[in-house]
Amino acid sequence: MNEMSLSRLYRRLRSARPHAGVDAHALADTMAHAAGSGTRVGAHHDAVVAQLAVSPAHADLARLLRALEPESALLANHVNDVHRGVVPLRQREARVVARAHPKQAHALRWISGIAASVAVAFGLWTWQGEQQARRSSDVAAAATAQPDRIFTSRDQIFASSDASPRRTARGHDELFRANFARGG
Amino acid sequence: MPQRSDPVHARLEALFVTFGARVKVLLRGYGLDKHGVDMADIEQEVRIRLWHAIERDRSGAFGASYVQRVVASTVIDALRRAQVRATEPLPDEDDDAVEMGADSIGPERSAGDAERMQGIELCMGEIPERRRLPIALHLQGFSLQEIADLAGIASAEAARKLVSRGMEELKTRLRELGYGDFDD
Repeated sequence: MNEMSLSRLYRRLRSARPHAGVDAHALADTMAHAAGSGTRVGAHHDAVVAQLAVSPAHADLARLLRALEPESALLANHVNDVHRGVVPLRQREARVVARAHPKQAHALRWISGIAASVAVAFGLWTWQGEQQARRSSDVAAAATAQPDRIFTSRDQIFASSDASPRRTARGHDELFRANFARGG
Repeated sequence: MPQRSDPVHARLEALFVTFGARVKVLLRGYGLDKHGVDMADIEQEVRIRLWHAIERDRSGAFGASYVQRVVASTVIDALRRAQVRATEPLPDEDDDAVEMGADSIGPERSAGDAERMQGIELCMGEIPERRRLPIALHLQGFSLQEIADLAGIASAEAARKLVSRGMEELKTRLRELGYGDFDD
């Protein structure tokens, strides 16, 4: 049976013809640009595309490169991770800084020591102040509460000896007023 | 090269082996094996070139575009070697060893195909340049999106219109010239 597939016949036709080589970098860049990876259109873009239109082998390679792009990106990331090493980033950066600026690291150690001492001293001073304030307020409270208690006890004693506290209180006041009137 | 016991070396080796295996699968998947290249050779060569790249610049960042370029250059070199081998005359003792597969093309069919291929070339030349490139890329097996990306066409839909009109034009012209009815 005759071959009637345009695609297959075209590829056979083109495979039989010698074709100019394609620059590997130009091809990779062209495919990266076509995939929208932000690569700028290279100077050889048109020549590469023209070659892809006539060379089945290079067309197959171009499609392979397009399919391989995610894996290439992944490999690049992994290789860079391995290069960065297994030490966590913060520790690594701290080491790098310490190695690059030993004098600064020494000064930093002093500053942090002084800051810690000041913080402890301030804490102690604040605590002492609070303790002192609490003690003096206790003393003042004790001094003012004592007469109240005496009066209260007196009132209670007085109240217990009298059947009518209201009358007693009025009588006491009257007596006080009488004295006052007499004196005054 | 670093020591085999080096964990960094082991990790990189594992990454390159995985990547190489993926390249090999894609080489077969995109039919590169039909162009006379040795897939195992390419896989190994890609790994070696990636190692060399790392050895050259251990501190430099490893980019996806660089990985793509390594694969492209390795395959293009292999294609070049395959082309050279194909043009070299076979030694006399191997003449009898030329395998005639069950699906090999007989002389009659081969002559008919050659005639049709000639017709395709003639008719392709008559198609305006604007439509010729998208058709050629379509016949090479590129998808509409890939055609749009490569040929700088605004969208896959625009590429579809160009391709379908061009293919109709090509088929009509081939029919008119007596080459028969073709499929895509």
